[in-house]
Amino acid sequence: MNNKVSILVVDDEPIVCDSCKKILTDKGFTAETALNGKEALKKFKQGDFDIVIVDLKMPGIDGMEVLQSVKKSKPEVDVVMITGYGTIPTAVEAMKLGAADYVPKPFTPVELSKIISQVVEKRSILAREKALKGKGAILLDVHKRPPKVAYHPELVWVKDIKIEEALDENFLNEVRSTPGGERVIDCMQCGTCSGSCPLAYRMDYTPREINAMVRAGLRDEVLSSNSIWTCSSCYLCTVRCPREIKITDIMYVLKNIAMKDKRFLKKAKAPLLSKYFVNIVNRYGRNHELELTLRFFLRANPKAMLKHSFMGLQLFLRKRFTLFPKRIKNIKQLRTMVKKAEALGGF
Amino acid sequence: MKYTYYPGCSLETSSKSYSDSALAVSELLGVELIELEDWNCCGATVYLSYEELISFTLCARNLALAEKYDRDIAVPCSSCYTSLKKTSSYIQENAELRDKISQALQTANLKYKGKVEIKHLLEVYVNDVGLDGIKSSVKRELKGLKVAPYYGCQIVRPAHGFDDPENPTSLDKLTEALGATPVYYPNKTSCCGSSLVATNEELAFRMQRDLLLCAAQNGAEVIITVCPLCHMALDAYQKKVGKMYGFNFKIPVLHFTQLMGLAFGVSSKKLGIKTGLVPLNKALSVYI
Repeated sequence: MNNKVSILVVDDEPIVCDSCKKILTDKGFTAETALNGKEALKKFKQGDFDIVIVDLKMPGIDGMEVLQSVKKSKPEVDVVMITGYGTIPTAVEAMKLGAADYVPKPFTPVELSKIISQVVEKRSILAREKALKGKGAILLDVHKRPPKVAYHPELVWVKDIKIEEALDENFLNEVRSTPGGERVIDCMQCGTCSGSCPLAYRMDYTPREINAMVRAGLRDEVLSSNSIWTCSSCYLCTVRCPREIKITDIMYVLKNIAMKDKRFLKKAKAPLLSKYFVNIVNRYGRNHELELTLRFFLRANPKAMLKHSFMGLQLFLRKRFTLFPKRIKNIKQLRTMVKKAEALGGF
Repeated sequence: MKYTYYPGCSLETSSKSYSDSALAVSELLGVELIELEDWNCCGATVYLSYEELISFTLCARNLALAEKYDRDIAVPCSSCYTSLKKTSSYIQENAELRDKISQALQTANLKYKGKVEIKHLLEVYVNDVGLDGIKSSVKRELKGLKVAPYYGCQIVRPAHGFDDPENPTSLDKLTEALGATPVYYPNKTSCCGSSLVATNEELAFRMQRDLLLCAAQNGAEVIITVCPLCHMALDAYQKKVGKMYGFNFKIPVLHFTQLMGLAFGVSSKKLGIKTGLVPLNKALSVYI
């Protein structure tokens, strides 16, 4: 990768120029040198450089002027300032004017290489972001919260910018092709949904983040997050969204997609409840609360069954539980329809 | 006034008193509720999480069966209400979905043209019967009874149009029509978390705590609900919620039709008043 990066080194001391050139070419960069500002700007104009390393203090056109000229003509070029003793405040000023970094003199080959490598890495991230944005995606900084920790203001979230395998363009289309999912693209990231959600504080990603992540194609992160299973379906986000995006329905779509891939269901209990519920409704045509409760708790949380047994008994004594299910008369008709809908394969 | 009655699964068992009281009250108001023959589960939030198309198809079967009669559907459960409403509007809005649902219905020799109007029972009483009609059926005004009118979420959201999605007033007005006093209840459309109670109890209990605390602090002597799931969340779990958070909640929770029944002079046995898990308090016992 480094051999594609072309660097211009500018310093009035030939020894600095030469040693920098050697360090950089050893690292695989293409490097050229200039001994003063005038020569530097001439070479810069003629050549195609990605990075300029320039000494701040030079006779004639100094480092600051070189920086300003470079940034004015090619803002995408990164400029790294070489600073001597006593020029740190000027270096700070240079940073404000757009310098990418500075390297204080005297520096070792390792120090120079490190700074240049950082600049190169930043450039490649920006280039990839630009390419992705060109494809219509919104990129966001994904803040990964420590697992199993509730919202805690003192905790610092680890910033994890995920770009490389980010884009699954099909994910956005998958969501957009479903009823309610059409308008996810209209999200302007105002955060009204997250501010309204009574459960956002316990979600891995807030509804606003989920919208952006769907658009960015962060499929695995969205589908494995607890956000989709934490949504209680109160529709407050939906009625408040100024762009009329049906966020609750998007959550349903995401649940549906996650349901089809077991990878995403490891931690959540809600999919298990859905599975048993679907099984019961497909068999009887109606829900049988006792069977659902027993099957779910036996599998998901047997302790909770003991904990709630007294409540269950009280409900039973008040005839609020029936032992036997009620089956609809035309269950065959219902099953035929379910089968057909299944065969049609969702949306 | 005749309506096709879609009770939903909860009203058959865990909230039978809701159905009993709704039928008793409707009769007194001249509303005939004719149960939809062989109705099936609406799918609720749980089936919808599994597979939307099948879930919508389940609702479409109910709508197709109901379309044979020239009547609106009256639904007492907010979750069923939202499921049916949502299916109905998506069938109209989304051609691809409409087509797939039609294909599924066809396999069962059913057809849905999209003509059924779906109404929540509260909507039927407040809008179709009217507050005057309700007032004139009151035999014993519930004078001084402080009521927290709890709407929950799915009766008003996503915008069904019959009342404001965030600050509805129909249940407050109905409470007043019965002679009772609706207390200030800013949490009236906050979610009760019932869809999470089995899978994430702690989250659900916290939501229920807020609802109970708000009602208690505003002096409510009874909470009334318009959804069997909200009723279950606030009544059956009330003691456990209090225990978890260190409150001794003792607020009876009634289906709104039970409160109407008390004002209409229906016997408390017929209304199933004592099927709640929270014991009745003095303020309510006066009317029993």
